Amino acid sequence: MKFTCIVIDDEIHAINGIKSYINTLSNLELVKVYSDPLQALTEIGSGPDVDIIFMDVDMPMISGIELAKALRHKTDKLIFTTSHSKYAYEAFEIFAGAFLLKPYTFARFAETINRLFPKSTNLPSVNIKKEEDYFFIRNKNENNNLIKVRYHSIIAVESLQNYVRIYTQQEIIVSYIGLAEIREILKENSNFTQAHRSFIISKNHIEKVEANTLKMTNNLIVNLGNNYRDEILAYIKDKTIKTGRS
Amino acid sequence: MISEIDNNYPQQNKILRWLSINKYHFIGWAAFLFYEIIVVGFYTGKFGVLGAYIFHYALNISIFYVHSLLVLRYGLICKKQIIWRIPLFLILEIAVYLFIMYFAYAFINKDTHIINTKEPLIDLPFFLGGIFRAGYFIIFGTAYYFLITFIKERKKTEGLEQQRLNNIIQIAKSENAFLRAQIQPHLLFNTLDFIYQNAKENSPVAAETIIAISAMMRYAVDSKHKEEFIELGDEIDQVENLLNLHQLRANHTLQIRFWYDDEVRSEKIIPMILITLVENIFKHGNLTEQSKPANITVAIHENTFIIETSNAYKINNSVIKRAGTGIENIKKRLEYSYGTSAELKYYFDDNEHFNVKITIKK
Repeated sequence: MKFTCIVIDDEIHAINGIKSYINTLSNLELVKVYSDPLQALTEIGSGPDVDIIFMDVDMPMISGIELAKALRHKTDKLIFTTSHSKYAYEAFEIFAGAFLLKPYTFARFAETINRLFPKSTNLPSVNIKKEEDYFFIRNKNENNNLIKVRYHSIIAVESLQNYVRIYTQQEIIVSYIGLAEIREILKENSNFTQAHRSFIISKNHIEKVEANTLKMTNNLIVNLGNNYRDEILAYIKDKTIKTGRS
Repeated sequence: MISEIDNNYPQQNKILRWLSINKYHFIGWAAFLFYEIIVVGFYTGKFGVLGAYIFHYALNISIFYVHSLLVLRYGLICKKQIIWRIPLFLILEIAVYLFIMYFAYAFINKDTHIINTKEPLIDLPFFLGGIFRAGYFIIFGTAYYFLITFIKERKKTEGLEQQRLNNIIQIAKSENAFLRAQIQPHLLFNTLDFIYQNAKENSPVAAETIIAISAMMRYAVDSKHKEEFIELGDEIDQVENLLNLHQLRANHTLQIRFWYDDEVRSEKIIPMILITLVENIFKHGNLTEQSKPANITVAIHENTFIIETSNAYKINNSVIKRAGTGIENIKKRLEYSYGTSAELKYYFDDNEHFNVKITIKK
């Protein structure tokens, strides 16, 4: 089942942008696009109900807020797409489901849709055959060419906002992927654990443990995050030789 | 009839207004006359006839105003001509004064005796007495002239100062308004959206950079950070945006790490502390060496809130020598908001890293 959407925006580039996002998500179906809010008002008012209306707030002739009040009953979810954040309060008043502040990324768009329709998850699931001992990933440092990464050579993965930096024994790879997705790939492998909100490390490559930091085999220093410290310290305690002498 | 009354009203009003504007003159002269006539009269036991008082005081008060409002005003009007104008005017006004006195006594008083019951001799002492009395009021007049000139000047300079400040404020306001008119948030973000939509197919990195700069601009345009205390999370997001922007521009080669746990996001703090420190790192820090990464740490330990930065610095960086006009500024702001419970230290450590440590006790 697909969710039906209508887009109302007076700017052509904004319409094109959201169109491409909607087409990318397989569970959305674009029914109609309006660049004239007045036309939208009359046509949607007399047409069938839809699941989502994406609507710009700042348009000629009629304010998006007014239009939203008139059309709110025709749609399940209402999403404002706007460059203004000042309308936030009014938007909440008429139960807008979400706010997309222009310019917004596809990731942000997909995340919003997933939040509004939690049952139909959209996340491009990471499909990796886990039995292999390697995966391929695009390396930004080498013109985005695919590069083979062996699990056992990974020392740590650092989050750089929308990118990650993968430290391997041989090199450092920068790739356009979120740390959360890397975590998905690595979660089957018990050798990897999160040490900090921005770091996943390989337990094999811990070189030295200090009060609040780990030193990795490549001399990388990783701070321990509050939420991850206990697990790591427990693992290290497990591996610590007990001599029986106190 | 009615129209006559109507016509009289403005006339009456004018007089009333004139009286009210000059009320201090009347009060002043009343006090003076009271002193001269009543007090001196009782002291010496001598009183003159009413006509004498009216005539002499009318003459004396006239010379007072003639001197202060005409002689000095027109005598001092041109600096080069003071030398002849003042003596000439002085002689003239005294001459007129003496002439009126002479005329009054020689002709009016002679037959009517309204000024003086006796008939004084019009001789040298008569004129000398007149000159003395005229001089007496001329001195008062002079004092009055300089007093009002002084007050006027002071008002003028005050007015000028006020105007200068107003001008500055006006200029600042108009500059601000100009900037705002130039970059309406609406226009700014719609334009950024336009660029983003056009760039994202052909240059994903450019598109991403636009997203990052948009997020930063939105924070700048938002008024939240102008409050006294903000949630640290807002500023952490801003720092993440800044890091992202710099990494994108440097092709993700910068060695800088931002350490914090999500718990600190809800902490309240004065704005522009963390972000200023991070901006400083980008300005002065050397972030290219892998073995010397810069670190930004935000943490809470037992009710003490800690912000720490550490970075290698650019060699030949002259700014580092006068370390921290920016840091001194942060220090002052911390002191202002937290008093002694906040502390800021900065130093170079053994690895030649520049360190800043802020602690705030809660």
